[in-house]
Amino acid sequence: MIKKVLTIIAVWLPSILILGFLDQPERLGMEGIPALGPLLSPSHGYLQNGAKASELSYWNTDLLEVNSSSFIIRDQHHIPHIFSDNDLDAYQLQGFVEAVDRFWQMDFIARATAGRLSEIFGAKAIDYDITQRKKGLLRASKSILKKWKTYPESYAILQAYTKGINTYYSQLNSTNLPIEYKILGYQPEPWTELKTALFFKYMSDILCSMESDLERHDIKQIIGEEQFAFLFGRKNQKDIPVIPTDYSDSTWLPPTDHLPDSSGIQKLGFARPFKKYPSGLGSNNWAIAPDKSENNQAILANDPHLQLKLPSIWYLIHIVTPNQNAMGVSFPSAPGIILGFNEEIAWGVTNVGQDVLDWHPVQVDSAKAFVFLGKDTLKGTWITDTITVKDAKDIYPQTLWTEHGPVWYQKSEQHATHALMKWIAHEPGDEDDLSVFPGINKASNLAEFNAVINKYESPAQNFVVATSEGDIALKVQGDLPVRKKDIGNKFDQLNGSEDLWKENIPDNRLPYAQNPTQNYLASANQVSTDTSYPYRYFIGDNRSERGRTINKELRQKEKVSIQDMKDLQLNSFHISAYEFIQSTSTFLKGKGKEGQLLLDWDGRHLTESKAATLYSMWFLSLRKMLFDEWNYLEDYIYPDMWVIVDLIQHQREHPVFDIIATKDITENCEDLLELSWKETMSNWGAMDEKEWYKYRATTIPHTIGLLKPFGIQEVKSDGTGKAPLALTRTVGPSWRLIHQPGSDQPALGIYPGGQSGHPGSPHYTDFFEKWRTGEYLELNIPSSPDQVDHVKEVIQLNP
Amino acid sequence: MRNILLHISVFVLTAWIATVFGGWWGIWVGGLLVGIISWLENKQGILWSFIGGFAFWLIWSTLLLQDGGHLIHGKIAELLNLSSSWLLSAISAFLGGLLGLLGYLAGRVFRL
Repeated sequence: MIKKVLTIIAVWLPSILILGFLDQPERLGMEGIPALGPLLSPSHGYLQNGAKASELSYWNTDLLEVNSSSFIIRDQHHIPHIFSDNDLDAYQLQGFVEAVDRFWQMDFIARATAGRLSEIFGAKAIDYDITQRKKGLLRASKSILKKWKTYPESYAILQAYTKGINTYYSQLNSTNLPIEYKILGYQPEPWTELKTALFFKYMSDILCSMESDLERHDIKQIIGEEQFAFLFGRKNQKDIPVIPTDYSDSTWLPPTDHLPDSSGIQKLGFARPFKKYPSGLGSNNWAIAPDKSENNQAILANDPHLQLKLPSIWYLIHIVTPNQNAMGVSFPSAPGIILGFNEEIAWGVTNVGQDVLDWHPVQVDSAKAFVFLGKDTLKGTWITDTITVKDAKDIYPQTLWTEHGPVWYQKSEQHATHALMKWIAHEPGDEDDLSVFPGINKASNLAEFNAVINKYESPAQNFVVATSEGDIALKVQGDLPVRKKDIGNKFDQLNGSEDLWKENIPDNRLPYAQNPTQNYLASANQVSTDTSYPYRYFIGDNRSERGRTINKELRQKEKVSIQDMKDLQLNSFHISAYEFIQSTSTFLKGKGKEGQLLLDWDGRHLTESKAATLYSMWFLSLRKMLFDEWNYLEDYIYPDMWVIVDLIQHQREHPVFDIIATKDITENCEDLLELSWKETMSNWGAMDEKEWYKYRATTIPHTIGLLKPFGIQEVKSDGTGKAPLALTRTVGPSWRLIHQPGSDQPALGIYPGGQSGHPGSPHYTDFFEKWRTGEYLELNIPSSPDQVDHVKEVIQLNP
Repeated sequence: MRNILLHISVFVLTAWIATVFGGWWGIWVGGLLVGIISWLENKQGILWSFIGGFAFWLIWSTLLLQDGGHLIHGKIAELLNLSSSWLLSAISAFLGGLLGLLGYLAGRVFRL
């Protein structure tokens, strides 16, 4: 009997262990290994995530409850064309198709923003989640959702959209789960309206946290006020602001009373408690008036520059109801079309280089939750978060919140220990901003467009529009704080809470231009206004190069064509690089074939260019030596490129050229050019592959970088961050649009990815090659289902 | 021959039902039932249960590959650091066979 029992155990034990390992390896202590049993089984595994997972016919669309006759028609590019007699039905269907293609991406971004990645990745994501909670994005999302509920019409749109997503969610099971859930071993959950709010705050985090106040503060402490003002405080006279308006005669003045006592300037700064997003984030947009357009119709072009990932952040969609016929890209997670066109208008945005995040030193009495800001005592509240950690106990980090924002703490000998973070992203605003993009989709002229965008709050954007009536306009729209003079561009010691911003620039004082005499408007994240504008809102990082190139190209043409627009979007000329080479031409003449390579170079960052690589290596080496005073700081910043060119051209003996480490020698410009050239040449000789695209090494990874095969490992394309074709290692044109509203020509659009977020779908990256080679899709907006070309799938729904 | 065919039929039917109503491990249940019933009283039963599991997963996978699964197949092979996607197919099929075999042994032990 015992022998029989032991035999049974001996035979069953391998089964139990192997089945256990294949199903839940982490329970056997094997972290990081996917559950191979479900993953490899044909019934439940990856082979169920083939092409058909993206097909609408795979899903039960009868579960969609519509009140009117509706169609979803997929074309050859997997673009859904939604036709409905009812707006809310259309948004429900939008939610459904976006979920079919992108549910995992939507769910993941919401969790990441909310600081819930520990639920998926376990303990290694705890630090990330704690930071996200302290940043307050989840809290801010709840506030904005509460506001949205006070606007019933717009809220109904969100509810319809959510319902559509959950119609997809309700059909998920262990077989048809998106592959990422299977590999990472976690379950999806229903979509909620809060997740749409989280997505809006995700974009706020990317687009309005670009200030460098803390870094500037530290650098100023190291090099002194005068040196800092010389390197960072001057204006580039060649810069061309977005809005060509002189505000000198305005009577608007920012408050100047109760200026803080600057003699008490905080000697110690505060180390930034989280990493910034990569540089290069930004966008281009421009609009051409009919008088400047070759065929006398207004033209619009827009290309936003975001981190390039797969699935793409954008999703092409076309929506037709009795109130709208609009097409463009949406954000899967939010209803409406964000960038695009309809029968009468085309619109686009670029990010305003906005400083809407301020840091201030404070003292804290933790036990009483008092925060001492200057002379004021703020009563804070300790908020405890709960973070669920996979395979571990929950953790409960605490943050001290005041009415103005959270207090950050760091243990440091060199820096201050507490800082108050005041950030526009924490403010829910009071406008019906959820209605903005659905409203734009229906706008038929400039007046309607302007009326809608007035409700848009954050993050502030340069909205450009062109209309079939021939109007062009550009508005800096959003919440931009009114600060006291000189507050908010460093680690400010304040007198008290009265020095914090209390209101935003009124809507009627936001920069705006329409139908200018120059016959075009263009923005490329350069400063939106000139120095006559009385309010400070700009981050000070004067990324003027793209704007200068775009303005130069547009100014020198009397008439502009669609081809010119394409050429400009694909222009890889780096104006500051060209100026840098010109300023060092005497030096380069004595530098053999490499020097001649640069002298012959025209400044364009073409795919195979070796000159672009050589320039970049040399410039980076020089810049590191030039600013050795502070380049040991983490995430340090540099003066704008024009400052470096100016130093080389006009200030060759400036003390900044001196290398600190060489105490007995005082280097000048010539010395640093020589030293940096020598360093560059030693690296240049050792390089096998000198082509620009190899050196730039752009990739388009999957949202989860570890899933390398789901990304694109090499992008063989022209472009560099400061050219109109703004492509860096991680950031690039995430969408391109060119359109003449009202013309019979199709719009041109493309993005580097594909409609489907399923790596097993042929539509996962089918747009990439066109985008890489500068081609576009032709986008038409048929007004009825029978006019859709190249139909692949039709779903008809009836009430 | 008739016994072998019966064996395989019971195996496949049980595995299929257990997969549909149970989970990915249904093939082990197929092997378990055959092991319990033990139509073949000699060691060739082991081989057939392995072959049954191997073929069951291989045929099903091949059908799915034909039906648009080849793109994801290649990517998963790369993710698992396999030098070719054929290797992934082989490993998956082997796993099916192994599960069938383990199920058979677990069931066969009751016949001791």
